[in-house]
Amino acid sequence: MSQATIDADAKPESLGVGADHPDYLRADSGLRSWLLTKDHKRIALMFYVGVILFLGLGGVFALVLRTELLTPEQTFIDANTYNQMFTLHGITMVWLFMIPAIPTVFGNFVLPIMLGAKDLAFPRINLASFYVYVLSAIILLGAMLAGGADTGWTFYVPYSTTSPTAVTWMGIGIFVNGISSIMTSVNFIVTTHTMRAKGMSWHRMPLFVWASYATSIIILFATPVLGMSLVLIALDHALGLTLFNPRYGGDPVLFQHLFWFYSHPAVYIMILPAFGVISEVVCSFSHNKPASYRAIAYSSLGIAFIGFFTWGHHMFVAGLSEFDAGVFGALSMFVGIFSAIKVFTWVATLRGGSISFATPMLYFLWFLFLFVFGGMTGVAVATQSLDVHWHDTYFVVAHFHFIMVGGTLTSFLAGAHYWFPKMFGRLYDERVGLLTSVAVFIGFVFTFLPQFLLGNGGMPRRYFTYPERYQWLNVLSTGGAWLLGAGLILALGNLLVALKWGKRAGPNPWGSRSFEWITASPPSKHNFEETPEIERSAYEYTLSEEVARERAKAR
Amino acid sequence: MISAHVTTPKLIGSWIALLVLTFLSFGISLLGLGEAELFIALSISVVKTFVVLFIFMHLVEQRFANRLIVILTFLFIALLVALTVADPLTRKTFPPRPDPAANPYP
Ligand code: HEM
Ligand SMILES: [Cu+2]
Repeated sequence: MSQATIDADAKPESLGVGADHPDYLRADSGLRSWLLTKDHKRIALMFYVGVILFLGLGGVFALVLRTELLTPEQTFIDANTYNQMFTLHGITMVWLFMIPAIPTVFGNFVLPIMLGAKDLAFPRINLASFYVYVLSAIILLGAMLAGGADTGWTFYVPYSTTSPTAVTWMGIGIFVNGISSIMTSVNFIVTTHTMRAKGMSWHRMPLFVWASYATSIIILFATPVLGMSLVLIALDHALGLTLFNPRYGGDPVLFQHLFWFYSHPAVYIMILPAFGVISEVVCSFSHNKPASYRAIAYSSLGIAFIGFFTWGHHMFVAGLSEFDAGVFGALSMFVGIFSAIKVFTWVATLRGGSISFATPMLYFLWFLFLFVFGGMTGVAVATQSLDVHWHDTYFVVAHFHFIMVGGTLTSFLAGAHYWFPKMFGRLYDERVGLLTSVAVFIGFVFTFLPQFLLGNGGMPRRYFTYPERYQWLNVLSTGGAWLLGAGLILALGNLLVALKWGKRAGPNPWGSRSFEWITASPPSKHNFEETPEIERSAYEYTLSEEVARERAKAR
Repeated sequence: MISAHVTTPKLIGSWIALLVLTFLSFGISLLGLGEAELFIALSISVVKTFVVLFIFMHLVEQRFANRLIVILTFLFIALLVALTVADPLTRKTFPPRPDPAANPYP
């Protein structure tokens, strides 16, 4: 099976650029050479370990939530613990997994190689961004132990200013986390502008670079607003400043404006990198150039831009004025246009391609279905008349999980399998990969599809008990969650096994034309000895492998 | 504008402009213009910010692309403020919040 997916015309005699040097994993040894490394590839691996750990922790919180919801009355935790769990689940998943995951792991690893660079523009800032991330994780974990938080990841006032939990430290932890995001995004932007190989014009870059670039811009513009809002909450909580208290001329809805001015763009911070991974996977596994390169590249920028104009759709029933609600409702529809452009372009890319069905391609199919489903329900909840009914019900929970888990997590897994040979030089077991992928999909559908029905039937979110009539759907959802968890653990296990026992991959096992594959797999410490000369785009599948290599000359 | 250069006379000129603007916002605060005061004071500080960015931080000497970033940043703040302020200004369906000055707590 794994042989079948290996491109037949990949020439084994070339081992890829830099194959005569020791690869980055073996170039230096010792703990110090890892902890103080300035190599973007090693930093990416350290981030990899970090985000997987927090995906696990957030997953444990999720399973506690779902297990509690197995029965209508209290199952095994009390209401307070439940409130803590969904807050910690949200905070861990959003800031310690989702937002950093794809940029810091795959972005750090492949972006410089895709551009033909030896490293990111600021290797030291890159390393610092890892330690700032670790610091934020330590602060957040400390805050979880010292009281936790029970406000939800949204920290809405007035409750967040009076909650007896460790809200101040949570705010500080997320603030520090934002600094790490900003460091990475500045690095990506500068690298894309200044470190491109000779002949690598903007329209020759792989689409993953465009997506990372658009993400970086959002991070740069939005994160400071989140930092500021959380500082206000932390100050209010610690010192009782009553900033949002109407008694003193404040307005609680103001906090929601500030929070969502960041957090709506933040959902695009989570999904745009996923779009980048998907674009690469689609082209590599259908051995075809994108149906429209510009449509995919520019719609990323379009989403980054329009994403800043829609934050009010989270506040339709929070007391937002009818005028503002109308404006935000209408503006929200534009996001759908750009997303649809992407979806249609990916599907059209399959046409006339020679498709190989490896695990990443299967994840692409799941992604397509789940993202479209999640996106369509997004347009639905952005319609005011419908949102009055669905707001704060499980419908919304299902909606954003379809995007975050169905979209981003599946693309993360697609990337984890697709770039596995690139990162570690070995092939995972394709059969197990496909099976775990199916398990993840089925588990996902069972977890979140019933939640749409629950929400539509009137079950509110963030409650730990519910009327008996909702039970059968909740049981389905909880069962699905356990299956999803099992699928994820098996997928991880498959990759871990392949680390040691996987077959050698060769430089370009998928027969991709994207530039990261012209180096050896795994790449040497400095990727290239000198700046490559590029005379083609990243998707020239009409050229033979030799000619393609000839037109991306590198040593 | 293309090869604009920040010279000492320009620095001194903008310093004086900043001082004048500072006194201007102070002076306007004495006129008792009510609601309009906030708007005027903020507009003056926006002008001052741009003077600092473009002259003292040498942004006029930069490529247009670099200036564009700052202009875009400003537009994003304007967006945040505009749509946020539009909300309470157009809230007709709710009773207006009590004036805290008229009913001091408790
Ligand atoms: C692994 C499977 C997952 C399961 C079973 C799961 C389950 C849940 C449940 C049951 C809730 C609702 C808690 C409540 O309000 O009663 C929830 C909320 C949430 N989940 Fe997940 N989740 C999963 C993965 C993720 C991932 C990958 C993310 C990444 C962003 C995520 C982000 C969130 C967020 C942001 C909330 C909202 C928290 C809140 O507003 O209270 N979840 N999840
Ligand atoms: Cu939103």
